[in-house]
Amino acid sequence: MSKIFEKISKIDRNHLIIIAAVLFVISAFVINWCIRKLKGENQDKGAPEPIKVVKWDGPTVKNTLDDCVKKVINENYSTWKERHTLADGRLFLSVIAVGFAAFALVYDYLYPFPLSKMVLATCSISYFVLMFVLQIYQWYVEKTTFYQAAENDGKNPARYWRWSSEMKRYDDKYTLVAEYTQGSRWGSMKLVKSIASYITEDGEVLLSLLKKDVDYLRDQATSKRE
Amino acid sequence: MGFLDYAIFDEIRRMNSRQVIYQFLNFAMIVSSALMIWKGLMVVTGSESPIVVVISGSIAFHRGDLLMLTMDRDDPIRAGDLTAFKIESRDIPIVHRVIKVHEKSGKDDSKFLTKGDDNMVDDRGLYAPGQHWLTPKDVVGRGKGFVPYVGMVTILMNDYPMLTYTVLGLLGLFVLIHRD
Repeated sequence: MSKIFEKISKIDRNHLIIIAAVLFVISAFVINWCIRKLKGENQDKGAPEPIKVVKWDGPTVKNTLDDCVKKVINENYSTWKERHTLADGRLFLSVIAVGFAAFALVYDYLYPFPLSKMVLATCSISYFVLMFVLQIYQWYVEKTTFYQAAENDGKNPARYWRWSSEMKRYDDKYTLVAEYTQGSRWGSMKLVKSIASYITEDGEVLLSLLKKDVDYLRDQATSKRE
Repeated sequence: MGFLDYAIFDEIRRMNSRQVIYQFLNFAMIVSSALMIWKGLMVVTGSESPIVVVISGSIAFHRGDLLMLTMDRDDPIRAGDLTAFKIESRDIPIVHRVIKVHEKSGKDDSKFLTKGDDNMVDDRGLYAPGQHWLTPKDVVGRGKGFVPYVGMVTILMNDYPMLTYTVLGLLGLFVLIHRD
Protein backbone atom coordinates (compact mmCIF):
# COMPACT_ATOMS: atom_id res chain seq x y z
CA MET A 1 0.00 0.00 0.00
CA SER A 2 2.72 2.46 0.92
CA LYS A 3 4.34 1.84 -2.48
CA ILE A 4 1.22 3.28 -4.12
CA PHE A 5 1.39 6.40 -1.99
CA GLU A 6 5.06 6.81 -2.73
CA LYS A 7 4.28 6.70 -6.41
CA ILE A 8 1.47 9.20 -6.02
CA SER A 9 3.65 11.72 -4.19
CA LYS A 10 6.24 11.42 -6.92
CA ILE A 11 3.71 12.45 -9.57
CA ASP A 12 4.07 16.08 -10.45
CA ARG A 13 1.61 18.21 -8.48
CA ASN A 14 0.21 19.70 -11.65
CA HIS A 15 -0.56 16.24 -13.01
CA LEU A 16 -2.44 15.52 -9.82
CA ILE A 17 -4.54 18.62 -10.20
CA ILE A 18 -5.51 17.70 -13.73
CA ILE A 19 -6.39 14.15 -12.71
CA ALA A 20 -8.46 15.51 -9.80
CA ALA A 21 -10.32 17.87 -12.13
CA VAL A 22 -11.22 15.07 -14.52
CA LEU A 23 -12.40 12.82 -11.65
CA PHE A 24 -14.43 15.72 -10.34
CA VAL A 25 -16.28 16.22 -13.61
CA ILE A 26 -16.94 12.50 -13.94
CA SER A 27 -18.25 12.25 -10.39
CA ALA A 28 -20.56 15.23 -11.04
CA PHE A 29 -22.26 13.26 -13.79
CA VAL A 30 -22.32 10.07 -11.76
CA ILE A 31 -23.95 11.70 -8.76
CA ASN A 32 -26.47 13.53 -10.95
CA TRP A 33 -27.41 10.21 -12.54
CA CYS A 34 -27.72 8.56 -9.11
CA ILE A 35 -30.04 11.26 -7.89
CA ARG A 36 -32.21 10.97 -10.99
CA LYS A 37 -32.45 7.23 -10.47
CA LEU A 38 -33.41 7.68 -6.82
CA LYS A 39 -36.15 10.13 -7.68
CA GLY A 40 -37.37 7.83 -10.43
CA GLU A 41 -37.54 4.86 -8.02
CA ASN A 42 -39.51 6.84 -5.47
CA GLN A 43 -42.15 7.88 -7.94
CA ASP A 44 -42.66 4.28 -8.98
CA LYS A 45 -43.37 3.25 -5.41
CA GLY A 46 -46.70 5.08 -5.36
CA ALA A 47 -46.97 6.55 -1.86
CA PRO A 48 -44.83 9.68 -1.61
CA GLU A 49 -42.23 9.43 1.13
CA PRO A 50 -42.88 11.80 4.05
CA ILE A 51 -40.50 14.73 4.13
CA LYS A 52 -38.45 14.66 7.29
CA VAL A 53 -36.09 17.26 8.61
CA VAL A 54 -34.04 17.78 11.74
CA LYS A 55 -36.22 20.48 13.27
CA TRP A 56 -33.41 22.05 15.28
CA ASP A 57 -31.18 22.70 12.27
CA GLY A 58 -32.32 26.21 11.26
CA PRO A 59 -30.78 26.56 7.80
CA THR A 60 -31.83 23.07 6.77
CA VAL A 61 -35.40 23.68 7.95
CA LYS A 62 -35.59 26.86 5.87
CA ASN A 63 -34.22 25.09 2.82
CA THR A 64 -36.60 22.19 3.32
CA LEU A 65 -39.62 24.49 3.68
CA ASP A 66 -38.54 26.31 0.53
CA ASP A 67 -38.33 22.99 -1.32
CA CYS A 68 -41.76 22.04 -0.02
CA VAL A 69 -43.29 25.30 -1.21
CA LYS A 70 -41.80 24.62 -4.63
CA LYS A 71 -43.21 21.11 -4.55
CA VAL A 72 -46.67 22.32 -3.56
CA ILE A 73 -46.72 24.90 -6.33
CA ASN A 74 -45.35 22.65 -9.05
CA GLU A 75 -47.70 19.81 -8.19
CA ASN A 76 -50.88 21.86 -7.81
CA TYR A 77 -50.77 24.94 -10.00
CA SER A 78 -50.97 23.61 -13.50
CA THR A 79 -50.81 26.99 -15.24
CA TRP A 80 -47.54 27.85 -13.51
CA LYS A 81 -44.28 26.95 -15.20
CA GLU A 82 -41.08 27.16 -13.17
CA ARG A 83 -38.40 29.55 -14.44
CA HIS A 84 -34.74 29.36 -13.60
CA THR A 85 -33.38 32.65 -14.90
CA LEU A 86 -31.83 33.76 -11.60
CA ALA A 87 -30.24 30.41 -10.89
CA ASP A 88 -28.94 30.20 -14.45
CA GLY A 89 -27.36 33.62 -14.10
CA ARG A 90 -25.55 32.47 -10.99
CA LEU A 91 -24.40 29.26 -12.67
CA PHE A 92 -23.19 31.19 -15.71
CA LEU A 93 -21.09 33.59 -13.60
CA SER A 94 -19.61 30.71 -11.61
CA VAL A 95 -18.75 28.73 -14.73
CA ILE A 96 -16.94 31.71 -16.27
CA ALA A 97 -14.98 32.30 -13.06
CA VAL A 98 -13.94 28.65 -12.82
CA GLY A 99 -13.14 28.77 -16.53
CA PHE A 100 -10.60 31.53 -15.94
CA ALA A 101 -9.01 29.54 -13.14
CA ALA A 102 -8.89 26.38 -15.24
CA PHE A 103 -7.37 28.26 -18.17
CA ALA A 104 -4.70 29.74 -15.92
CA LEU A 105 -3.92 26.29 -14.56
CA VAL A 106 -3.57 24.69 -17.98
CA TYR A 107 -1.60 27.60 -19.46
CA ASP A 108 0.83 27.65 -16.56
CA TYR A 109 1.28 23.91 -16.90
CA LEU A 110 2.09 24.17 -20.63
CA TYR A 111 4.26 27.30 -20.38
CA PRO A 112 5.81 27.31 -16.88
CA PHE A 113 6.07 30.34 -14.71
CA PRO A 114 8.03 33.26 -16.02
CA LEU A 115 6.43 32.84 -19.49
CA SER A 116 2.91 32.62 -18.11
CA LYS A 117 3.22 35.71 -15.93
CA MET A 118 0.86 37.93 -17.96
CA VAL A 119 -1.76 35.23 -18.41
CA LEU A 120 -1.68 34.35 -14.72
CA ALA A 121 -1.99 37.98 -13.70
CA THR A 122 -4.98 38.56 -16.02
CA CYS A 123 -6.75 35.35 -15.02
CA SER A 124 -6.18 35.97 -11.33
CA ILE A 125 -7.55 39.50 -11.49
CA SER A 126 -10.49 38.46 -13.68
CA TYR A 127 -11.31 35.62 -11.32
CA PHE A 128 -11.50 37.88 -8.28
CA VAL A 129 -13.47 40.52 -10.17
CA LEU A 130 -15.97 37.81 -11.20
CA MET A 131 -16.18 36.59 -7.60
CA PHE A 132 -17.05 40.13 -6.58
CA VAL A 133 -19.65 40.41 -9.34
CA LEU A 134 -21.13 37.07 -8.28
CA GLN A 135 -21.42 38.27 -4.71
CA ILE A 136 -23.14 41.50 -5.80
CA TYR A 137 -25.47 39.43 -7.98
CA GLN A 138 -26.40 37.24 -5.03
CA TRP A 139 -26.97 40.18 -2.72
CA TYR A 140 -28.87 42.55 -4.98
CA VAL A 141 -30.33 40.63 -7.88
CA GLU A 142 -31.14 37.21 -6.45
CA LYS A 143 -31.63 38.30 -2.82
CA THR A 144 -33.70 35.75 -0.90
CA THR A 145 -35.61 34.41 -3.92
CA PHE A 146 -35.87 30.66 -4.11
CA TYR A 147 -38.57 30.16 -6.72
CA GLN A 148 -39.63 31.82 -9.97
CA ALA A 149 -42.53 30.94 -12.23
CA ALA A 150 -44.47 32.21 -15.21
CA GLU A 151 -48.23 31.90 -14.90
CA ASN A 152 -49.95 31.66 -18.25
CA ASP A 153 -53.67 31.16 -18.44
CA GLY A 154 -53.99 31.94 -22.15
CA LYS A 155 -56.09 35.07 -22.02
CA ASN A 156 -54.12 37.63 -19.99
CA PRO A 157 -50.47 38.64 -20.35
CA ALA A 158 -48.21 36.30 -18.38
CA ARG A 159 -47.69 36.83 -14.67
CA TYR A 160 -44.15 36.43 -13.45
CA TRP A 161 -43.96 35.19 -9.89
CA ARG A 162 -41.08 35.46 -7.45
CA TRP A 163 -41.22 33.71 -4.11
CA SER A 164 -38.65 34.47 -1.43
CA SER A 165 -38.19 33.47 2.16
CA GLU A 166 -36.22 34.42 5.24
CA MET A 167 -35.56 32.88 8.58
CA LYS A 168 -33.34 34.47 11.19
CA ARG A 169 -30.69 32.51 13.03
CA TYR A 170 -31.99 30.62 16.06
CA ASP A 171 -35.47 31.94 15.36
CA ASP A 172 -38.50 29.82 14.52
CA LYS A 173 -40.33 32.41 12.44
CA TYR A 174 -40.42 31.62 8.72
CA THR A 175 -41.21 34.60 6.48
CA LEU A 176 -42.64 33.74 3.09
CA VAL A 177 -43.13 36.45 0.46
CA ALA A 178 -44.97 36.05 -2.84
CA GLU A 179 -44.56 38.75 -5.48
CA TYR A 180 -45.69 38.99 -9.06
CA THR A 181 -45.47 41.37 -11.99
CA GLN A 182 -47.96 41.35 -14.84
CA GLY A 183 -47.16 43.92 -17.47
CA SER A 184 -47.26 47.13 -15.49
CA ARG A 185 -49.20 45.64 -12.57
CA TRP A 186 -47.60 44.09 -9.55
CA GLY A 187 -48.64 42.64 -6.24
CA SER A 188 -47.04 41.05 -3.21
CA MET A 189 -48.01 39.44 0.07
CA LYS A 190 -46.00 38.42 3.11
CA LEU A 191 -46.69 35.81 5.75
CA VAL A 192 -44.72 35.21 8.93
CA LYS A 193 -45.38 32.00 10.81
CA SER A 194 -43.53 29.78 13.18
CA ILE A 195 -42.15 26.61 11.61
CA ALA A 196 -44.14 24.76 14.25
CA SER A 197 -47.21 25.46 12.11
CA TYR A 198 -45.94 23.06 9.46
CA ILE A 199 -43.60 20.64 11.19
CA THR A 200 -44.63 17.87 13.57
CA GLU A 201 -42.89 16.72 16.76
CA ASP A 202 -41.00 14.12 14.73
CA GLY A 203 -39.79 16.61 12.14
CA GLU A 204 -42.23 15.69 9.42
CA VAL A 205 -43.35 18.52 7.15
CA LEU A 206 -47.12 18.53 6.62
CA LEU A 207 -47.58 19.62 3.03
CA SER A 208 -51.34 20.12 3.39
CA LEU A 209 -50.84 22.86 5.98
CA LEU A 210 -48.17 24.49 3.85
CA LYS A 211 -50.42 24.34 0.82
CA LYS A 212 -53.11 26.29 2.66
CA ASP A 213 -50.70 29.14 3.26
CA VAL A 214 -49.29 29.02 -0.27
CA ASP A 215 -52.83 29.28 -1.64
CA TYR A 216 -53.55 32.13 0.78
CA LEU A 217 -50.47 34.07 -0.34
CA ARG A 218 -51.27 33.60 -4.00
CA ASP A 219 -54.87 34.72 -3.56
CA GLN A 220 -53.97 37.74 -1.43
CA ALA A 221 -51.21 38.88 -3.73
CA THR A 222 -53.40 38.77 -6.82
CA SER A 223 -56.51 40.24 -5.18
CA LYS A 224 -54.90 43.54 -4.24
CA ARG A 225 -55.42 45.89 -7.15
CA GLU A 226 -52.23 47.85 -7.87
CA MET B 1 -29.26 2.73 -2.76
CA GLY B 2 -29.22 2.17 1.01
CA PHE B 3 -26.11 4.29 1.47
CA LEU B 4 -27.79 7.47 0.28
CA ASP B 5 -30.69 7.02 2.71
CA TYR B 6 -28.77 8.44 5.68
CA ALA B 7 -30.03 11.71 7.14
CA ILE B 8 -26.93 13.71 6.23
CA PHE B 9 -27.73 13.12 2.57
CA ASP B 10 -31.28 14.48 2.94
CA GLU B 11 -30.44 17.80 1.35
CA ILE B 12 -28.62 16.36 -1.59
CA ARG B 13 -31.41 13.90 -2.29
CA ARG B 14 -33.89 16.74 -2.52
CA MET B 15 -31.76 18.83 -4.86
CA ASN B 16 -32.69 19.10 -8.49
CA SER B 17 -29.99 18.89 -11.15
CA ARG B 18 -29.33 22.65 -11.20
CA GLN B 19 -28.63 22.64 -7.50
CA VAL B 20 -26.32 19.63 -7.79
CA ILE B 21 -24.37 21.38 -10.52
CA TYR B 22 -24.16 24.46 -8.30
CA GLN B 23 -22.81 22.37 -5.41
CA PHE B 24 -20.01 21.10 -7.61
CA LEU B 25 -19.34 24.60 -8.91
CA ASN B 26 -19.18 25.77 -5.30
CA PHE B 27 -16.51 23.19 -4.62
CA ALA B 28 -14.69 24.17 -7.82
CA MET B 29 -14.78 27.82 -6.79
CA ILE B 30 -13.18 27.09 -3.44
CA VAL B 31 -10.39 25.17 -5.16
CA SER B 32 -10.07 27.90 -7.80
CA SER B 33 -9.85 30.62 -5.16
CA ALA B 34 -6.94 28.86 -3.50
CA LEU B 35 -5.31 28.30 -6.89
CA MET B 36 -5.76 31.92 -7.98
CA ILE B 37 -4.37 33.26 -4.70
CA TRP B 38 -1.33 31.04 -5.14
CA LYS B 39 -0.78 32.03 -8.79
CA GLY B 40 -1.45 35.65 -7.88
CA LEU B 41 1.25 35.49 -5.23
CA MET B 42 3.59 33.99 -7.80
CA VAL B 43 3.02 36.97 -10.08
CA VAL B 44 3.30 39.58 -7.30
CA THR B 45 6.48 38.22 -5.76
CA GLY B 46 7.98 37.20 -9.08
CA SER B 47 9.09 33.90 -7.58
CA GLU B 48 8.11 30.39 -8.68
CA SER B 49 7.51 29.30 -5.12
CA PRO B 50 6.51 32.39 -3.24
CA ILE B 51 5.94 30.58 0.04
CA VAL B 52 8.12 27.75 1.30
CA VAL B 53 8.25 25.75 4.49
CA VAL B 54 11.45 25.27 6.46
CA ILE B 55 12.18 21.56 6.79
CA SER B 56 15.50 21.54 8.61
CA GLY B 57 15.81 24.48 10.90
CA SER B 58 18.52 26.64 12.37
CA ILE B 59 18.57 29.26 15.10
CA ALA B 60 16.95 31.85 12.90
CA PHE B 61 14.40 29.56 11.23
CA HIS B 62 12.82 26.68 13.02
CA ARG B 63 11.33 23.63 11.36
CA GLY B 64 7.78 24.42 10.37
CA ASP B 65 8.24 28.13 9.76
CA LEU B 66 6.67 29.64 6.66
CA LEU B 67 9.02 31.73 4.55
CA MET B 68 7.99 34.29 1.96
CA LEU B 69 10.22 34.63 -1.08
CA THR B 70 10.43 37.36 -3.69
CA MET B 71 12.37 37.27 -6.88
CA ASP B 72 13.73 40.37 -8.49
CA ARG B 73 16.41 39.69 -11.05
CA ASP B 74 17.30 43.36 -11.37
CA ASP B 75 18.15 43.78 -7.70
CA PRO B 76 21.82 42.82 -7.29
CA ILE B 77 22.66 40.20 -4.73
CA ARG B 78 24.63 41.59 -1.83
CA ALA B 79 26.46 40.01 1.06
CA GLY B 80 24.08 39.62 3.99
CA ASP B 81 21.04 38.76 1.83
CA LEU B 82 19.12 35.62 2.61
CA THR B 83 18.78 33.74 -0.65
CA ALA B 84 16.94 30.58 -1.60
CA PHE B 85 18.95 28.62 -4.14
CA LYS B 86 18.77 25.23 -5.78
CA ILE B 87 21.68 22.93 -6.28
CA GLU B 88 21.68 21.10 -9.57
CA SER B 89 20.64 17.56 -8.76
CA ARG B 90 18.55 18.48 -5.72
CA ASP B 91 14.88 19.40 -5.64
CA ILE B 92 14.69 21.17 -2.34
CA PRO B 93 15.88 24.78 -2.23
CA ILE B 94 18.22 25.88 0.55
CA VAL B 95 17.85 29.24 2.25
CA HIS B 96 21.19 30.57 3.48
CA ARG B 97 22.95 33.88 3.83
CA VAL B 98 25.31 35.25 1.16
CA ILE B 99 28.76 35.93 2.61
CA LYS B 100 30.89 36.72 -0.43
CA VAL B 101 30.00 38.31 -3.75
CA HIS B 102 32.18 38.74 -6.82
CA GLU B 103 30.70 40.95 -9.51
CA LYS B 104 31.85 41.65 -13.04
CA SER B 105 30.39 44.09 -15.53
CA GLY B 106 27.11 42.34 -16.34
CA LYS B 107 24.53 41.47 -13.64
CA ASP B 108 24.39 37.83 -14.64
CA ASP B 109 28.09 37.53 -14.21
CA SER B 110 28.28 37.59 -10.44
CA LYS B 111 29.37 34.73 -8.26
CA PHE B 112 28.60 34.33 -4.61
CA LEU B 113 29.21 32.09 -1.69
CA THR B 114 26.70 31.21 0.98
CA LYS B 115 26.80 29.91 4.52
CA GLY B 116 24.11 28.89 6.93
CA ASP B 117 23.99 31.11 10.01
CA ASP B 118 24.32 28.09 12.25
CA ASN B 119 27.04 26.31 10.34
CA MET B 120 30.74 26.48 11.11
CA VAL B 121 31.81 26.30 7.45
CA ASP B 122 30.53 27.72 4.20
CA ASP B 123 28.26 25.82 1.84
CA ARG B 124 30.88 24.61 -0.60
CA GLY B 125 30.34 21.11 0.77
CA LEU B 126 26.71 21.32 -0.32
CA TYR B 127 27.32 22.52 -3.85
CA ALA B 128 27.54 20.12 -6.79
CA PRO B 129 30.93 18.40 -7.23
CA GLY B 130 33.29 20.86 -8.89
CA GLN B 131 31.07 23.85 -8.13
CA HIS B 132 32.73 26.46 -5.91
CA TRP B 133 30.39 29.41 -6.44
CA LEU B 134 26.73 30.06 -7.03
CA THR B 135 25.46 32.15 -9.92
CA PRO B 136 22.27 34.20 -10.19
CA LYS B 137 20.78 31.37 -12.25
CA ASP B 138 20.74 29.12 -9.19
CA VAL B 139 18.72 31.57 -7.13
CA VAL B 140 14.99 30.93 -6.82
CA GLY B 141 14.20 33.78 -4.47
CA ARG B 142 15.15 36.04 -1.64
CA GLY B 143 13.78 35.66 1.87
CA LYS B 144 11.58 38.61 2.66
CA GLY B 145 9.50 37.63 5.68
CA PHE B 146 8.40 34.70 7.77
CA VAL B 147 5.53 33.36 9.84
CA PRO B 148 6.43 30.90 12.59
CA TYR B 149 4.85 27.46 13.17
CA VAL B 150 2.18 27.74 10.47
CA GLY B 151 4.09 25.49 8.10
CA MET B 152 3.89 22.49 10.44
CA VAL B 153 0.61 21.57 8.79
CA THR B 154 2.33 21.22 5.41
CA ILE B 155 5.12 19.13 6.93
CA LEU B 156 2.57 16.82 8.55
CA MET B 157 0.67 16.49 5.30
CA ASN B 158 3.88 15.69 3.48
CA ASP B 159 4.99 13.07 5.97
CA TYR B 160 1.57 11.42 6.25
CA PRO B 161 -0.07 11.63 2.84
CA MET B 162 -3.02 9.54 4.08
CA LEU B 163 -3.87 12.44 6.40
CA THR B 164 -3.99 14.85 3.46
CA TYR B 165 -6.33 12.67 1.44
CA THR B 166 -8.66 12.05 4.40
CA VAL B 167 -8.88 15.69 5.46
CA LEU B 168 -9.32 17.00 1.93
CA GLY B 169 -11.77 14.25 1.09
CA LEU B 170 -13.94 14.98 4.14
CA LEU B 171 -13.83 18.74 3.51
CA GLY B 172 -14.81 18.19 -0.12
CA LEU B 173 -17.69 15.92 0.85
CA PHE B 174 -18.91 18.44 3.40
CA VAL B 175 -18.95 21.24 0.85
CA LEU B 176 -20.72 19.06 -1.67
CA ILE B 177 -23.61 17.92 0.49
CA HIS B 178 -24.38 21.12 2.38
CA ARG B 179 -26.02 24.12 0.76
CA ASP B 180 -24.38 27.49 1.20
